[in-house]
Parts: sequence; structure tokens; C-alpha cells
Amino acid sequence: MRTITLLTSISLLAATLAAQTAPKQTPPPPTAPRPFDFPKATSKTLPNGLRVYVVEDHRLPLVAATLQVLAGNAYVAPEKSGLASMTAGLLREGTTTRTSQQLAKAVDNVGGNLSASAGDDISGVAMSFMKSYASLGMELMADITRNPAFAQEEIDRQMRQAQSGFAVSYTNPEYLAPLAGARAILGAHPYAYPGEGTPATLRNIKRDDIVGFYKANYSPGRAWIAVAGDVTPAEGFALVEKYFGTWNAPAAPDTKLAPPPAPKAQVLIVDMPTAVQTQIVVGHVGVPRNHPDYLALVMANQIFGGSFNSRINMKLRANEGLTYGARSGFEPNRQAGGFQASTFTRTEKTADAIRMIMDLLKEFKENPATQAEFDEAKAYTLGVFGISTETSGAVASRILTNYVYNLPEDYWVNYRKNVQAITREQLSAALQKFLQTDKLTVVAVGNAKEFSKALEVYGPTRVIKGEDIDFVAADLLKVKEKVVVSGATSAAGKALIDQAVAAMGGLAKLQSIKDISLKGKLKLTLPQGAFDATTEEIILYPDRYKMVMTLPMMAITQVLDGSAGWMAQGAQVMDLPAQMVPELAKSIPTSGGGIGLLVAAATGKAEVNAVSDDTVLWKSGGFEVKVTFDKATHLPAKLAYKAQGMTGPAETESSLSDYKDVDGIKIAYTSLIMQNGQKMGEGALTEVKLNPGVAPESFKKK
Amino acid sequence: MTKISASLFAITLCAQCLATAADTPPPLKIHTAELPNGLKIVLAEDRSRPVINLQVWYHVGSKDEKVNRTGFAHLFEHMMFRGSKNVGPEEHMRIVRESGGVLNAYTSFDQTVYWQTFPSNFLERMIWLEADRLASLDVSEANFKKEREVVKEERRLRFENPPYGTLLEEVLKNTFTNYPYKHSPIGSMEDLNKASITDVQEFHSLYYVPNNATIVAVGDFDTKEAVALITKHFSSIPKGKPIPRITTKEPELTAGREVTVKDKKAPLDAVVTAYHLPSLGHPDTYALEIASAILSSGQSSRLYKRLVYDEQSALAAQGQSLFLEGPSIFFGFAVVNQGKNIKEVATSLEYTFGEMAEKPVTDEELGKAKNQTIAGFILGREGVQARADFLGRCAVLLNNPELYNTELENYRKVTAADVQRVVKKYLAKNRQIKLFIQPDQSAAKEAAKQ
Repeated sequence: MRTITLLTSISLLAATLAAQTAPKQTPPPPTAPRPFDFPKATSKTLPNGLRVYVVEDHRLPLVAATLQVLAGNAYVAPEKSGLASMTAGLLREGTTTRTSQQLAKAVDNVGGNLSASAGDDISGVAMSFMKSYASLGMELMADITRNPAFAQEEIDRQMRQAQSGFAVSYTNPEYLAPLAGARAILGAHPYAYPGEGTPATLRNIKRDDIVGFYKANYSPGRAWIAVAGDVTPAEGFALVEKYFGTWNAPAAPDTKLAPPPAPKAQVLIVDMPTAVQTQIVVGHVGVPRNHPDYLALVMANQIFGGSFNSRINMKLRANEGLTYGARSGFEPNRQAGGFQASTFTRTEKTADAIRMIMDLLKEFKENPATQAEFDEAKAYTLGVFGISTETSGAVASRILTNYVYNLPEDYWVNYRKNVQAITREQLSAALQKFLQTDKLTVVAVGNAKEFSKALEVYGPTRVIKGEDIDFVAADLLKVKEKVVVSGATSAAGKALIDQAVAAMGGLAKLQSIKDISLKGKLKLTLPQGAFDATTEEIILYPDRYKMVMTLPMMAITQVLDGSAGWMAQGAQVMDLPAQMVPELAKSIPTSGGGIGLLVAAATGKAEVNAVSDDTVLWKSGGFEVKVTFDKATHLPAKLAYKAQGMTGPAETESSLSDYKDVDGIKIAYTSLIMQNGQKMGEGALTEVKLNPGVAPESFKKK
Repeated sequence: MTKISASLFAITLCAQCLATAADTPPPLKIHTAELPNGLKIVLAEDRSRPVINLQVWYHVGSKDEKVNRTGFAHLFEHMMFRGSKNVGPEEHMRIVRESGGVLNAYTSFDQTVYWQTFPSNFLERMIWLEADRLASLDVSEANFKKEREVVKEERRLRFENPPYGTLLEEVLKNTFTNYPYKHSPIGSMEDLNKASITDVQEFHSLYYVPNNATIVAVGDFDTKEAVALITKHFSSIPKGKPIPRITTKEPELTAGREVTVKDKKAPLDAVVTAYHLPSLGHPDTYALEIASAILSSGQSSRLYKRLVYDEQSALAAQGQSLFLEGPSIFFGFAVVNQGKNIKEVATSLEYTFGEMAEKPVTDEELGKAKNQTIAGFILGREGVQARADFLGRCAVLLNNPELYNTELENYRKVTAADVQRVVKKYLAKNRQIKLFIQPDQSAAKEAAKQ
């Protein structure tokens, strides 16, 4: 019956076209459609609570499986954004019985795929293997799900890679626009924060956080799995039971998220002065996936921005040539995500493009669908369903959505019937109730000075420089180490320094130190592995420094001789690159537990300001160090500063402990060095000599 | 000692597994035909789902562009949606859509391909749509100019705005001296601006003719009926003139080249090493593809393992062969991690290639690369569209659709000695073009000041 209605409307349309230009042919009519039913899945629940679905499809010798668990980014505190993604990503990087490389080999050797990733609501582990390796695939999938090692060196490696990745993505307007859009539209809702974290939040994530997150969320009671492909239901269930049947971990209750904040009119501009094209997002809060109007709204979106022939793309691309593409869509989740229209255009057309989107949205609210648009949207939604469920994997992933979003078990079986039942009036009513054209957020990422003024008509406008953005900060701005310098902070800083100087042995004694020799052991945690080294440092104040580090494979020497620097690796001797000289110079005041820092501060050669009741910001030349003192002993407990790390500038922290008395002066014998939140080394001194009589010649280049 | 023999045993086992019949992709039953006007037809029935993918391959790509018209083949592809005799501007999309179908098109160096995937009862309508725009193109001057702006936005989006966007252009420009692969299919802004509506008509009448087109379809149809429908709608389109083909020769590289490129969009240093390869269809291509897989397929691949995992000197590292009808290229690519030295990363890349020329790859690596290839033949050809993509490639670029079913055998036959030989021959240091891409901070600072 419905097919006939559709045919009539198409031929009517064709007739209209033909009337405009006389001899045009009409498109040939379709033949009778081949019936197609959504493939059946067989399901059962294992005693441990794991729900299992099997979709049988013998067309290819292939078996795929997807496990989902309620462990998405929404279950993470904003300041630890990235924790869910990091946890999922690390599953693939080693288990209690297989190292990361062993896993990679096991998968690659048989041409399989094994992956894990996190979304807003869920994290997923997926595998696809050729049929003869299906059992191996399931075994590996279960191993990474159930027994992840979360080895510190793998965590460090992932963190370093992620930080380098940020260095690339943060220069790309296409990367920044959706993140800025999500924060502007969803405010402080858990869905608002970047799933892969930010450069700052990744530094907050420690191994304990990852293990804690895994234990709290990864359990069969919060998980479900679908197996699809060349297996019978019995074979599919047997595979899952064999590898997941003994998985027992207590399940935390499923917490319900609050809805996102109400929409408001506002403009957020991220300034990227080198951009030649502006990325644009306009929208407001959407609806949850199981909202009763969801299907009607998605069909309405087809008309506005869900296809090439949609209103927004026809206007901005086909008629105006402003863009390569304009679209809109919902990001449906268990709670409402965003509803967003997005496009990009050359800088000088930014304001025009945004004005057109605003006008189109207003028109959309007034007139959501003409009869022709409605018929086309419905015909497309019905027809494309067969294409989008062509493979067994696609069928399985649809079945899984039922579980995530609390949709009825027969949702996809009845899907086309439900689409067919929607009327134009229902669609219009749903859209008009939903869309609030006076409360739209506008986000533009591009060369702000060319368009920011023109956007102010759309609401209160903020412009943030690209390099200042922090997607987790309440005000979206990176916290700058801005210490308000006043008489009070200066006096308080001086007092903390004086207490520390007294605790260490008094200023006169500290000033009497002209040179130092330190020997020790250092346990290094590097990307290549852990290494034991011995170290020998000599310092001749104020500007000579030498460090010899002996590793199992070679010795490395780094020296400042008062005017320049040099280094030696094994037998090779070379000048220190110019940019490394100030880096190495940081060792002079910080070595020996910061004796140099204290003396400089106490004698007015460095500026100090208290930043809290136990910490001062120490500044001299271009070098800044935050020194934190132990409240009981007043001795320095931590030095924090920027230094060159393994993969670029790194936040470096040196924690000092085990103070011992040497000639009446307190010296910290152990130190723990962290870079970007990851452990880099542990040092223990074995011999300390004050004023051993180090000669300037000791620093001469070999 | 026990450990070694145990792993050897595992390898032997693995090599045996390699050939199991269970993991061989089911063959396609391919039917070919040719109309008197030169139109080629390549069909493969698969009635398991009521879905068809239909593609029209035009054997023309960016290498066929005239001087000062770079980007034109792609710009022209956009024009094919701007109207023909019986189909108004953008109507093509609407008609496919209301049939419940999806569509797109792409332009590469050698070919331009238009495709649609749709419910199988709309087959004749899709054939009619494709025939109409081959028979006649009806694009107004105004629509041409608007579409040119669209393409320029595409260029800005993919090439000018993102980090490393212009990398491919730099690689091509520095790899080819004569051959028209020296520019990428997107072309330059300057040349796009020069293109005119007259060029559009000329291009259509020269290259968009039945004797330069191949129809490929995979899915739910009766082969006889499909051939009849194609004949019905295409046979009246007259045959065109013989197609002019590129005869330019690219001189053999005898000495390496080194180039430094300052890129104001690059946030980190990057290094590319490129080499010339033989053309698509050359017997050495199989061993070269296996070599690429050993170098960069998966987390246990040599480049990933050395540069990304162990040294952590690179954020990403890849080796990839790009096989084309003309002189082809292989390129190694690494994005240098913060604080690492670009020269050291380049040396690591070179060392990794050199190592493969020095000694044969292990049986384990060879078995792995073959398994990945077999898996690719199965995993990568799940839907009708993926199968039609490869069938079209075999039919048009390799000139033999039956290769669809036999190509896998050629990969299975590759030996460790083959891999060593081709790496030694093609990825030699004296044939290397090395590109250092470095952030141009002065440009970024300049822009920030304005």
C-alpha cells in the first residue's frame, strides 16, 4: 500500500518537472521491492550477568564480536577527562600474561583486528578474525577485557603519544570546533568534555586512577556482547562462555546522568590567526536517544541538514558556493547530547554563512517540512535501512544500541513500521516543540578579527585565543601562572625562605659553600625501559656544572664551563646545542636539594613570592621554580619547574626526602623525579662532599 | 634453546594455516560484455541482500589534465551533478535519495568514478541517471562558477587549513619531474580560477564517451536483465574519438635528492622518504605490497615498533606504496615527536628500509603479511560497494576483471627472497627523495601580529 503512495508522489513530482521543460524524460519507475526482514539475533544471559547476542551470517568466513561496557567518558570527573579513553586504549597494551608486543603479534600474525575505545556512555572492545582464528580472537578479546596489566611504562608511552598528538590537533580548526561547540552548548555536563582529554587533564591521570576506573566499571553486570558472522548461535554462545563465562567482577550500580543545561543565546570565537577558512557550529541541546520524538526529529533533520539535498547544503553549497559541505545532526546518547548545524567557509564569508544558517533555522521552525520534503525523507529513511544493515557487523551494532539506550528488544524489527507510521503533522509538531531559535549557540574557529564584530548580534560574545583554550577550565582559559606580586606575597615568600635557610643550617653556613661534589645512584624510567645509572655531579658556584651519568651501555657527560657547554657520549665529544645551555644551567640552583635557590633568594639575587602558605614562586633570569616546603621541618620538599623532557617541554617535579646532616648542613639524599605526571627517575645519593676544592679546570672541554 | 624451537614450531604451524580453504574469500561470478559504442560492462550477481552498488568508471584522471588546468578532472566530476538533459542541477542526488540510496564520486590520478548503492528494485532508474549525464551535460555558466567556489572550499578544508595538508603536493612536486603525477588531483587555486565552461564541454566530449567508460555492478540483479537495461539506456550514445593517452616518460632517478620545506601549518617536524616504483600490474608489485605490510601494517610492524614504540621518536610512522598506471611511488613518512631530532628520525626510517635490503624478512613476518593480505581480501570486501570498488580497479586499471578472483594467489606466492630483492632494487638510497618538513614559525608569528 505504502509503495503505491510513494510511487504516486514520485510520478507527480516528475510530472511537475516535465511540465516546466517540455520534452524531458521521467525517471523509470521501480520494480516491486524484494522483501527484507531485519536479521534475527539469538540472545541469552550468562550466569555472571553478561548478555550475549549472536547474529548468524555465513556469507563470508569471518567472525566479529563487540563487547560494550558502561564505562564511557561521562563517568569521569572533568579534571580527569581522557581517563575512560586512556583506560580503554591501554587494554590493548598488555595483559597479565601478554605484553603489548606479544598481543600485537598474536593479532597481526593471523591478520586479525582487535581494538578498544571509549565513547560518551560506553567503552567498547571489538575483534574481527577469519573464521579459523575465531577462537583465538575471542581469547585475546577476553584477555584484554579481563586481565589488563596497565603497566606503568605503557601508561607513560600512551601519555607521551597523546601529548604529541595534541601538539598536532590543537593547530587544526577542524579538531577544535566540535570541542568548543560541545563545551559551549553542554556547559559543565559530563558529555561536554573532550573524550580524549586535554594536555592538562592527561597530566592529572595516574595509574591508580586508571586501575580504579577499570575496577569500578568493567564488569559483566555492566556489559553485553554481540557475536556476528560465520557461526551458529550454539557456536557463538560456546565461544563467549568459554572465554567470558568465568568473568566475575562486582558491578557498580548504573548511575543516571542529569540532563544538560537549558539552551541560551551566546557566541564563542576561537581565534586562529593563520586560518584561511572558518569552522562554524550552530546549535543547542538535543534529545536523548530513547526520546519518544527521536525518529520524527531525525527525519526532520534529514530535511534540514541530513543529506546533500537538505536545505542548509543546497543553500550554502549549491546556491551560494560558500562551502564544500553544510550539515546538521543529533548526537544522541543516554542523555541529550547536542543538536548542531556545522559548516566551514573562507574567512571573509564567515559572517554571511552564519547569518544564512540562523535564517534557515528560523524558517525551519516556521515550516519544518513541505509535503515533497516529507515524502523524500521518509522514502530515504525506509530505503536506506537495507543498505545500512547489509553486513552482519552492522546488524550486530544496531542490536547493541537497544541495550545501551533502553530501547525495546524488537526496536529494529519494527523500525520501518514505526517510520512508516510517522505523519508530516507529527514531524512538524515535534520539531516546533524542540527547536529554540532564540537560544542558539554560535561557535566560530578561525581568524577572529575578520568576523568577530559581526557575530555580536547573536548574543554575548567571547573571543578566546587558540593557544589559550582549555576545554576543561570553567572559563575555558588555561590557568596562567600569574602571581599577583605585592608587598604581602613578597614578605611571606621571604619568611618561608628564611625558615628554610635556618632549618638547613643557617645562611652563613650555606654561603660558605663554594663547591660541591655529589655521587649517587639513579634508577631511570625511560621509554626504552628501566635503567640503573650512577651519577657524579660537581658544582663550582655560580656558573660551573658537570654531570657524568654512567649507564650500562655508555657514559654521558654534560658540562657548563662558565661561558659555554659541551657534552660527551662514550668517546664522542661535542658542543652543547645553544638551546640546551640554559636547560643545563637549571641544574646549578636545583642540585643538592636546592641550596643554590635558597641562597639566591636569601641574598636578594632571586625574586620570591608566596603562592600559598607552604610554597613560593622563585624567579631569576628566565627561570621559574615553585618551591614547596615541608610544614613541619621547613626544609624544601618539592621543586617544580619546566624543563626539556623526553618528548619536549615537560612539567618537572622533584620531590626531596631523606635529609641527612653533612658538616652541619641538611642535604636531601633521595629525590623522585616526575615529568608530565609520569615517573622519570629515582635518585639516591651515596656520597656528598661540601667544599672539596673543585678546580675550574675540571670543567674544561676534553 | 627450548624456547626457540617452540616458536619455530609455531611458525610452521602458522604457515600451514595460511592456506586453509575456510579462509578463502568466496569467488565472484563475473560477467563481462561490451556494447558496439565501446561501453564495457562488468557485473557480479550476489542476491544475498536486496542491495546493488553500481559504478561508472571513466578512464580519465588528474594526469590527463591540460597544462594550466590542474584540478580540472575533479572540478569536472562536480559538474556531473549540475544537470543533464533530463535531470536538473542536483536532481541526481535527490532522485537517488528518494529511492533510498546513497551516492558519491571521486577523482584520482588515473580515474574518475561515480557510484550509488540502492535498493535493488531501483536498478533501471540508476542506469537511466548515469546514461543521461554521459549522453549530455547541461551546466549553466552561473552554476559552473558556484561549483568552482565549492571546490576551492574543498581545497581549503583538506589542503590549506589542516596541519600537513600540503604534504602530498610537496611529495609529488619533488618526486616527479616530468610525469603529470607531479600535481595532486585537487590542483592549484590559480588553475582552478582559469578553468572555464568551454573547458567543461571539451572535457566531456573528449573523455566522457562510451569508449572510455566501464559500468561495474555488484549485487541483487539478474545478469541478463541488467545487461538488457544497460543496453537499452546506453546503446544510443555515440562512440567518441579515440582517447588521447599520456606518453610522457619520467626519467630514472640515479642520485638521491634532499629538500627542506617550511610549512606554516606544521606543528611538528616531519620527514618523508619517497622512491619510484614500477606501474600497477608489474610482477614486482606483489612483493612490494608485502614489504609495505611488513613495514607498516599493525602495531607489530617494523616502522611502528622501531620509531613509535621503542624509540618513541615518531608520533606516527608509515611506509606505503601508491600504485598507479604510470610511474608509481613508495613513501616512508614519520611525524617527529616533540624534542626529537628530524635527522635521527630520517636515519631510523632509512635504516629500517636498509635492513630489509640487507637480510631476508623472517618467515614469521612473511606469514603475518600474507595473513593480513588474505584477511584484507575478506574483511575489506564485505559489502557490495567494497567488492565493486575492487572489481572496477581490476577491470579498468588492470584491464582484467578476473584478477578479482586470482590476485590473492599472487600475494600468496611471494617469498622472503622476493621481498629482499624488490626492497634492494626499488628502495635504494641512490633512488631516494628525502623531504624535511619543518614548521615555519615566522609565518605563524607574522599572522598573529596582524
